[in-house]
Amino acid sequence: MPAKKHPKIESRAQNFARALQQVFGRGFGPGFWLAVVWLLIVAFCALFADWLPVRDPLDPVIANRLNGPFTSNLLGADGLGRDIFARLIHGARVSVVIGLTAVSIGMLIGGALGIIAGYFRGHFERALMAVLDVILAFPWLVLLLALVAFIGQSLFAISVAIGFLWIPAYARVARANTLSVVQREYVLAAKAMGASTSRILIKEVLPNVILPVLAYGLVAMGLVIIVESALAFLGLSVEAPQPTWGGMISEGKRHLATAVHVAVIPSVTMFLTVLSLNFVGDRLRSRFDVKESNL
Amino acid sequence: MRQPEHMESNASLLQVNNLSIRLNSAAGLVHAVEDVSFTLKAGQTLGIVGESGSGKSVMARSLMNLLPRRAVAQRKGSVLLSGREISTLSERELQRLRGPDIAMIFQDPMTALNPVLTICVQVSEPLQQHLGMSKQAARARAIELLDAVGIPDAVNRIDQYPHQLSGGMRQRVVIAIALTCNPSLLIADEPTTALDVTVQRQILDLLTGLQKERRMGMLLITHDLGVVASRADFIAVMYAGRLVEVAPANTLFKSMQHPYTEALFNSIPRINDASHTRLQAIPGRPPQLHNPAPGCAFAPRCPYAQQRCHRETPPVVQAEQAGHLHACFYPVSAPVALGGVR
Repeated sequence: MPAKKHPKIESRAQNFARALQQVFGRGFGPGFWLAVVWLLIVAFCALFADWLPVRDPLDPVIANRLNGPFTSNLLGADGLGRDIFARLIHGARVSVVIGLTAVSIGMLIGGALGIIAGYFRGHFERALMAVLDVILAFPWLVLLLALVAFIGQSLFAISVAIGFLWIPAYARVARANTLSVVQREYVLAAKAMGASTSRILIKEVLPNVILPVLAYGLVAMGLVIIVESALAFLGLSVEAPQPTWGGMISEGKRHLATAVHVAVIPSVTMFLTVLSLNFVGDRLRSRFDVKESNL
Repeated sequence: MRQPEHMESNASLLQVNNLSIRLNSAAGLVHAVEDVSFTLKAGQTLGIVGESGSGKSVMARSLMNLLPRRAVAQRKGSVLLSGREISTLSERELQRLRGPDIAMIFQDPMTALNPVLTICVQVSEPLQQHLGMSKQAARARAIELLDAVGIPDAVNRIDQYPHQLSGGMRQRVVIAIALTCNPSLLIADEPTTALDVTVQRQILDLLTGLQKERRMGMLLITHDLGVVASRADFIAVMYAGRLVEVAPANTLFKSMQHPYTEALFNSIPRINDASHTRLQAIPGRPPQLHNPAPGCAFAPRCPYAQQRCHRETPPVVQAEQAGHLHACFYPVSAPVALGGVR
């Protein structure tokens, strides 16, 4: 029998490229890409703040005090005569670091707990869910204040405190997805081939749970940035000289009657960033969520 | 029937003695498997036939101790695989057993493969775990296995994901995974039920071919008497959790004893029947397996049932031919023509 011609089969790289194209190639619209560009700019500023040609964000020049935008300073100066543009760029670092760390902490701990609870069920699941419900029932700001008072006001401590707040949400997402994955036959099939429990969790369950959990991450990051600013407003975020967006808004409120821009410029920056995060996160989530995207 | 080689005729690969399993359910205890006994020798195929809900899959899974622990309310009897009792093994020992000694093929290849992992990962995993192969060696072996189960262009196919393969291809992959560690016993739980009729035959032929080639013991579970007729050495008919008739395949069709076997046989449509021949369906519904009524479970649907059948459970007895067992007080031993069986 002559060898049959088989339809061309894509190589691994082509396969991956096609998958990328399917996810990103069609119909996100210009809004999505604008949001992505904004986020890239913010991330770039956060990474390279120290090397960017901007003024010293901590240097008070009394002569420039409360100057408006496009005068002595590009975006004006605050109540102590510090350059707002420089402070925004350095403040981005705090927002990005807290956003990434807090979300990672919530994702790692919450995700792991959720997967374990969803896989093993039983007493552990019931106990965990009860504890998570208690945490969720707590007013989050009060809880956060208590945590910050307890572990301090360093950048890392604040990230940990906010990350802690996100554990219940991630645990729930991970548990719900695990519950549906565990019932699939491929988990039983893996068990029937002698796979150990840890192997099943890592190889069979995790890859199926991680996408919905990751997709939740960007939206969560937007919320984390807002939570950080709420803390800053109460004077409980990263300590004083270090610029943060929330801290800048909080300082600006004293000058609202005379120099609006001191509070408005960081507010708009934060608003755009959170909006972009939500926008991108939401679009990606609907693309990856099998139920919504009908893939 | 193929005669097993003399050397192997004494060594039973799988021996099940009086296995009973009750499962927890919302409606009470389900008597899923009742007093099932059989033996399977290396290189033989035992076909287990029964309708949906007759306990076939529960029994198959219990042979590997795969039933969820919470679901099993009671388990009696013994399962010996190459002389080792399965039910007393620890989870770790079971993990070592599953794969190299006993492997299973599932009904639905759409759900039996992980959608987010490539074929390569799924086939080579057991090789790496059980046989300690390196990643490269496992990949090479996986390609050989895919070749062996008739996947064309395996070298390229191996990096694809399950959704890129057709149903028949996926079932071939599932078979390849089951074969990775050369199991001595292969359990095929309705391997073709979810497939097109045209593909069913290819998959069954592949399975029997591989089984002969590798001299595996095979448990072929199906609801279709036609599937096992020409492929099994022995056929066991299961009804309401019990084996109601066990016989060598050719003996069974020549002289079936149990009315249920006869009814199953008569309900197969035959291609050489005159047109408009009425298909003989089995009247009634399969029994509820919780709170079973006393007596023979088939009695309410049985055309030959007597009063005694409703009172006492018939024991398994030996028919005239050696190796032919049945559980009926009033066996029908009318010989039936074999002609119409697929």
